[in-house]
Amino acid sequence: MGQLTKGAVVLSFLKPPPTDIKALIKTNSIGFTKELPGLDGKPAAYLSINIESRELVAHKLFSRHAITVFFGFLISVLVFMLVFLTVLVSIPLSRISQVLKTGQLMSSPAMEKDAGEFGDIWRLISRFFEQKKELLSEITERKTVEEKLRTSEARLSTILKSIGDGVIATDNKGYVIFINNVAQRLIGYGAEAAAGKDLRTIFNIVDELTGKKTDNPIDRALQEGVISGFANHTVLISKDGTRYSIDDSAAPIRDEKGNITGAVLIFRDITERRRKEEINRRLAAIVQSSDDAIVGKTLDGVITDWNKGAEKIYGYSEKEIKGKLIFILSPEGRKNEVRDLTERIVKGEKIEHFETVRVRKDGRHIDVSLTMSPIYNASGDIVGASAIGRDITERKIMEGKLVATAKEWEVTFDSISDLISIHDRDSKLLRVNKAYADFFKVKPEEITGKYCYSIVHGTKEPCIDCPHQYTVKTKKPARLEYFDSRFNAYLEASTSPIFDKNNEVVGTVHIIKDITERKKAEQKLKEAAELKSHFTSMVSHELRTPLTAIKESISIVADGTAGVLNEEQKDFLGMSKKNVDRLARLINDVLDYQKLESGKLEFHIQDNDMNEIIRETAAAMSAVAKEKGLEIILNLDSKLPLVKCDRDKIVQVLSNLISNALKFTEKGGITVVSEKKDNIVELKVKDTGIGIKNEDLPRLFRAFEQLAQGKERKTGSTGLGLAISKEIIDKHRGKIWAESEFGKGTVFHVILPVIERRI
Amino acid sequence: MKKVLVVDDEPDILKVISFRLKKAGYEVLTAGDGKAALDLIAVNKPDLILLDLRMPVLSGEEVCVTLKASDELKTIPVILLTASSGGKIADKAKELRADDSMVKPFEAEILLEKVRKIIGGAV
Repeated sequence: MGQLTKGAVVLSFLKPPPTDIKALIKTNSIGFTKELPGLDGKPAAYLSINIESRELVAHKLFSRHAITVFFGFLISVLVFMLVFLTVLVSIPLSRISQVLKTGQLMSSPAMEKDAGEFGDIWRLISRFFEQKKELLSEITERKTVEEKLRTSEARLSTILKSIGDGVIATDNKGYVIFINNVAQRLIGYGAEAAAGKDLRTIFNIVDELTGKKTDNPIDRALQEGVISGFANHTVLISKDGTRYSIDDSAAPIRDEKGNITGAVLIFRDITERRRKEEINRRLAAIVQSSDDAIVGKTLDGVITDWNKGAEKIYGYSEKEIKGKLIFILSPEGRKNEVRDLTERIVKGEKIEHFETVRVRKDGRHIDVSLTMSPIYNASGDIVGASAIGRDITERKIMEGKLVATAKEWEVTFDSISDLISIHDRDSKLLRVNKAYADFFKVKPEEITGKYCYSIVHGTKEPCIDCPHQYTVKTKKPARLEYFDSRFNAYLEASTSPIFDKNNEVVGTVHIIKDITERKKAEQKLKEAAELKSHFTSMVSHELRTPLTAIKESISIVADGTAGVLNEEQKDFLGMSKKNVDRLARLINDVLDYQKLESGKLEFHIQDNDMNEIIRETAAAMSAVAKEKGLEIILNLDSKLPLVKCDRDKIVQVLSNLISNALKFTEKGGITVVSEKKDNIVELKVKDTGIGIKNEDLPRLFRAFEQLAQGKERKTGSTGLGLAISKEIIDKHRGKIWAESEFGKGTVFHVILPVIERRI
Repeated sequence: MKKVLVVDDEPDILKVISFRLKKAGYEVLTAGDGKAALDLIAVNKPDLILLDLRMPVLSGEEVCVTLKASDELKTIPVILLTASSGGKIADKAKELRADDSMVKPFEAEILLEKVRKIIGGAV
């Protein structure tokens, strides 16, 4: 089989043998292809064997003519060949074929030892089969490993899913490849929604304090390959906006070569824990920042807690007092007090506002108010006591001052001789002074809540003109005078409002005075005034009657009606008549003045043309002026408004002023001026007479002043004229005054208000 | 001749006023109190009465009220006289429906003028 030098064996694991091999097999080659099935039944490899047979074809063409000889030889050769082929080719081939067909490698020492091509093939196949066996066992082994791996992965997944913390795994870009249930719940994304998302977009965290977005911890894990852990105070904002306080940690995932293939993020909802921490922190801060001393101690009195307030109040720092006994704070003589208090605490009692004295580090004694409560352990046993102490030294001093002030006030209140009472809005008595209690014969402690009228008037209802009610209603003080027959006394009650800070009346102060003496004096005065008034009018009436008879008798004689008189008789009778007239005027003036003074003179107020009044008065006086060779000049404002006044009274004033002017003027003239100024009318009576000295001007309008002053003026007036004029002008709410330059003349001014009619 | 009744409790006043009126040409009757005046008026009705207010027995005021209450006598003009001063007399006159008033002491000429104004001259 030396010709069979060429052949090919191709073993392919992946795909069927190449076409050219197949083609070879079909045409002129001996060969075959065998599929080698894998464990799963599918072809795992292909084995192609090709043996080229060109040599054999060439032998077929050898020597046709020597067939006969040759045949015998040939037959023998053939037989030989047959045996040879059978032994050398067929058997090995069949063996190979069988092996290839069955796929089972049989042990064949002959084939092993065969040094020919078939031996090579056999060994090749053997090696292949061995390799295949190895391969198969390797595959089987790998499958077992894979199976194990799968089981372990499932378990891991289950563990991750059921873990209490949120777990998210990402690839090396930060895209989510795994998210457990807790993480899904916290970030608000389901597994499917989260898968493949950039973790940075769905894991939204901010700083608890600043509210600013914080770095995602996986960034460091991915970029720097470090485990970044538990950034404090991180808040996770869920997809629906819910905020969770979390602790988070991220670690890189590395393959066996150490390359970062992803990151795992683990985080935990610590909202509740943070809340408790916050409460504890705040409680601690409250305790620390309290101005009160807050001290904790065991039942044995060992100090366990000591806040800043305690340090301030007692002077010891926390460091130096912790572990010491509480008795250090008790002054001598009060050591047992703490023990007693502790005993009460043990009984579960709470001690509130126990005022006592404690001693500071510097030895100073301070007043404190203690509130003590038991401290329970977790199983509910009392293991200690907390004491809250407040420094009330200042308060004690203030209290002392207040007591002193109150005492001072009370002493003052009770020393006032007027009857003083304090009432609420409803007139109920709140407080009375001693004088009040003595006068009404009541006890101060018994009157509280009683109505003032029940005490003051002895009635069941307030009186009609109750000043208290007026004060409450109007917020103004009020006054009432009344006679109380029970005390046979005139009393005056004045009420003043008490305001709160909103200026609302919350009560009243009543002051009751016994005004009986004053009333009696007033009554006497009134009676005297009435008597005087009556007397004056009676006297003037009684004077007038004889005066009328005298005046008429003289007139009749002086006129010559009762017979002709000589010049001397006429002269004397004229004098008598003049003095009788003067007497009559005097009586009129006294009476007028009396009436004005007692308010009995009646006024008839009407609209009057002031210029007309002036003209008439001047006309009436013109005769007297002429007698003295003087002229009355009128300088009247034509635009004068009507003035509301009593015509006769104004005439009286003007007559008085003009007659005075005439009386004291010897040369020159009298000028009467009217003038409108704003809402007043001004009248002036000017003369060029002797004038009035400056120092006399203030006395001008006083009654009887002229009589007292006398000398420089020519008499003829009662001295009441100007006083009456002033009274009249005052009643008109006007003004009257004089200006004068001694020796040059006088100007009398009269101002009357103009009340404009409203249309 | 016009008749004027002067009523006053003061004889001297009655005398001087009567003298003036007679000189002026009037017939003058006099009465010393209110009652006497009313008695006189009943028998001798005057043309005008000068009536003093303050009088005993029956005051001028009462006389005036009686006169004005009588249909027959209410037409007799009355001038009130008083020694009390002030504006009150004018009001009183109005109230009593008297025709005028006069305060004592007075100027005789003014009184005569008032009389003339009401009942005219003496003739």
